Amino acid sequence: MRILVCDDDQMLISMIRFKLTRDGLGEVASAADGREAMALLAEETFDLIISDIHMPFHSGLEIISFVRTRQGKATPIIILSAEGLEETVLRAFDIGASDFITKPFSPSELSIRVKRLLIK
Amino acid sequence: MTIYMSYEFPVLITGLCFIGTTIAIILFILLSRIVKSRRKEESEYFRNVFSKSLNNFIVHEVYSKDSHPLSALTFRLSEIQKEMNGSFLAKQIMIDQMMIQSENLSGSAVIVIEQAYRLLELDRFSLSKLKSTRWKVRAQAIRELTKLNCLEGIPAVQAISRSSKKEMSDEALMALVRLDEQKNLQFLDKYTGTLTRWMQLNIHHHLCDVAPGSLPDFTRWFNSPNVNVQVFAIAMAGEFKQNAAIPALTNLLLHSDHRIVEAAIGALEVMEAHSPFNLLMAVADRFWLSDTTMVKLAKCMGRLVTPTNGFHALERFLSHPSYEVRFQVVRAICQFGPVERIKMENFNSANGMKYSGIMDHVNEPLLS
Repeated sequence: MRILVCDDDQMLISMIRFKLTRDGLGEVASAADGREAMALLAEETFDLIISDIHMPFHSGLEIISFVRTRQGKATPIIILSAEGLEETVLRAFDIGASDFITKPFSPSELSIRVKRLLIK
Repeated sequence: MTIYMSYEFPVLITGLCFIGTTIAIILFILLSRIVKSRRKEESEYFRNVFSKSLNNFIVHEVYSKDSHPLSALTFRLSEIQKEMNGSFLAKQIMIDQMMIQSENLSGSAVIVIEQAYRLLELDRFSLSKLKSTRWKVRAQAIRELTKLNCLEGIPAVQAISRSSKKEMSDEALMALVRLDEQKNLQFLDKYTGTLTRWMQLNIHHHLCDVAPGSLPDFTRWFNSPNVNVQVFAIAMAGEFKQNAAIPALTNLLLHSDHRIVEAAIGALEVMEAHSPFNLLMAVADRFWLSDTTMVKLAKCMGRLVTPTNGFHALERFLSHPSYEVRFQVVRAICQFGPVERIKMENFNSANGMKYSGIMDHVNEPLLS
């Protein structure tokens, strides 16, 4: 399984990578901003995407649109955000997010949610 | 010859001094660059090493069933201790990483980080920084103790809360709000200063994490001698929907200070508390000329007046000199439903279409 983690916080990426690899959920690639994420998505195929909402160049919502509309893929996408506003959550689900996790979050919870989506 | 020498000597000395100073400056710049780049490399190294160790702690979550055996934990801690080797920079980097991770994570992961902070004796390092002569270092130490939930720091932080330097006392007070669960808002009892927006946001942010049953009874500060504290407490009572405070909030509508009355109206509105109509009308009589109070009242009346008598209840406000008040009233009436809207349209026709502009404004979604 290949998982893409998009976040501008390198420490968070390294923690998520460590946790998911440790739990045997697959190989984790990362992107530090929206542009890098889009470039990776255009070149490679991933089984799951975890993305922050607020990132330089392109937001997490733009990434969802890119995957769902431009690429027409059904890859599960988990949105990670410090902003838990109802409007943002609804917008994310409306355009195709598979799950939404509000920061601060539990790494174990993230791992279980990833596992659940990968099994589906 | 002597004349020539005496003329040349000071020039020579000046020239040598200039060259010497230039060399010294260049050397200084070079040295500082070397130090800076070495520090950067060192920081990068520590960041990488500590990030791995910290991830290891977090992922294994000492308290979970898959946790480290104690010996492995002790070994890891001693490895980190060895790596830090008493270095100020290393300790600071480790604390910074812990703070960032504890901001992003929740649950047992945070407990593990806090545990590691204590086991690595970094709490002592933060406590020692409280004695620094530089206030920024002390403020940073307070933030570390607060973020990493070090309760042992409470006495020291309490002492700083009495500091004459406003930045320090504010920082310490906000730290106590988070750390000292027993008396976290007690400082408001005797607080005489201004509760800045920053402080209000900090307190509110903290209160959002508190279980509803553990929230303080905000009516306690409704009669505080500090208007700032009063207004804030009233707003918080509304924000956290403390219904038991409604009678006290209703009484505050009779207050002479418009700031208190406005806060009480706002809180009642948020709580959608149906206040006595006559009392709200009495507020209008007393503060008719205060635009801010009247706008608040008009908005509040719009939400609290029942639609069956909506137009008649608010009709009086339509003659207010402030456009904003009239606008809020028309908007409230239009939201009451078609019957009240027709009454408003009839009223508009009877008054020479004086309210058409406001009605257009209300009906235009881009403007309202």
